[in-house]
Amino acid sequence: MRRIQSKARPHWQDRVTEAGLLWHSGEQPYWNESAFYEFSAREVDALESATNELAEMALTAAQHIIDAKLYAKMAIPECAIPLIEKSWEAEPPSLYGRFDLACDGVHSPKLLEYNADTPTSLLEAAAVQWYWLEDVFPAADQFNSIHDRLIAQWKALCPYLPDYRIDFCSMDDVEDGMTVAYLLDTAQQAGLTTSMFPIDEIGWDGVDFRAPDNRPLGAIFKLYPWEWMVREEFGRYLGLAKTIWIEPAWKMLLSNKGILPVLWELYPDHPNLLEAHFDGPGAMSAWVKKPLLGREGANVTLHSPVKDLATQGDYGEDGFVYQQLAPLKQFDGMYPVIGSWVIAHRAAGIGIRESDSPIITNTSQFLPHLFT
Amino acid sequence: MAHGALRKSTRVVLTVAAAMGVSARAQQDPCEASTFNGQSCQLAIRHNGYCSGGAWTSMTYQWPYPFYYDAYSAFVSGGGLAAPFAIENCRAPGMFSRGGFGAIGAGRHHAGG
Repeated sequence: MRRIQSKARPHWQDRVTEAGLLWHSGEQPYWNESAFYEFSAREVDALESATNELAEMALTAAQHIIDAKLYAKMAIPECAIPLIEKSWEAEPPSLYGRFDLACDGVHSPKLLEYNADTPTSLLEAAAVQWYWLEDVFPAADQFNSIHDRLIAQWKALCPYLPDYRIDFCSMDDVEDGMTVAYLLDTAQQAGLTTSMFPIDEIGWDGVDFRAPDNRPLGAIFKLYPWEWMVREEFGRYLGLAKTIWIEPAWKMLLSNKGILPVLWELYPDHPNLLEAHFDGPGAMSAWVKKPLLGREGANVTLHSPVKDLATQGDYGEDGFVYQQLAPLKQFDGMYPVIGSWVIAHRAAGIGIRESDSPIITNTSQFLPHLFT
Repeated sequence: MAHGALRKSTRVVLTVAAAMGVSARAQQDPCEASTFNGQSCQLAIRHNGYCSGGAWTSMTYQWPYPFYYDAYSAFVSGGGLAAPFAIENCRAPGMFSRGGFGAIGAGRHHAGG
């Protein structure tokens, strides 16, 4: 695994914008092609293998949480439990997720967290870095079948979606909106009828959730966390309506940081896991304290014998988990995190975000990759 | 007595049956003390009605929710046995609301992660 300096394409801003990455440059650049990461085929095999194994372990962990009723430990509200258990039994459609892995090219990839419900950085991983590869290194390869796999999974889901239709909703935000627009694109390419609207335009009529044009919503993809949905005004209706939600409610179990100590309890000393606990750091000398329901690296505390670091934010009132500090290696002074995508619970490709801090936040940068 | 006189009641008085009838009707109301259901009562007050037997029943409530909750509490503390209203769903005429999702996210950067 190497970080290699590279010359950015002339007019790269136009190239990435054409691919839909409208947020490539905010206060600081988000898309960064002045460098890229290079992997060996063997390292890619290790990432793929680890991802597939973690995906299977996560499903086992979800069953364990349900069987052992660990909901309170994970700050999952009582009103959400019937939704979770019903959706777990019914096995409704599921599309995707992203494991965040610490990887240094030496140790086995280590799971930092699993964004199983509302993962973003999808467009840049699936499409934008692919176009970069075609432009700059057309003979090289990239661990990235995300686009094809998304289309294939939508096709597989067609029989479960009423009228072969899937609607999409998100917050009225450019990054979330473009992520959903990209997914809508893949659904259309799979032959589905689609529409897209802000989540606050969903209606409720006493029986059905309704689209802005008043159609009953048969199936809808939402880029909006379940833990927020169940706490909002319409949350009380979620168990009454027939609407199929993608991702399904049971994904609440996996996107919760409480999955980390549960996995460690089920698979102690697994090479792709870091020690993790609910109640405190225990005997760990270097650890990271993460909010159960945190997002984008907010309210994270990193403790080591030589350094303490903390981020601010609005999360943490539901509790924390403590995870062993991953063996982090700097590449040109930067800390990379591998976002390893699963489509239908199988590895599909990676995207890399890096930061000058060991805590990846919403100010991190996305870099393309290739392998040889 | 003429035979025809037996074919028609001159006065019908109901006591027990009437009480049961009132009770049966009351059992359909989520804000009634004997069938109180807090969540359904709050929704019924907000939407001026409730679902019962698969159909929408319009009902205007004069008082805010705490009044009905207090009545329920008094009923139970007085030894009354409550059979909670069963939650149903049906389409309410004219009842159509939006904006029930998105409030938490509105205060954040974005919802994806």
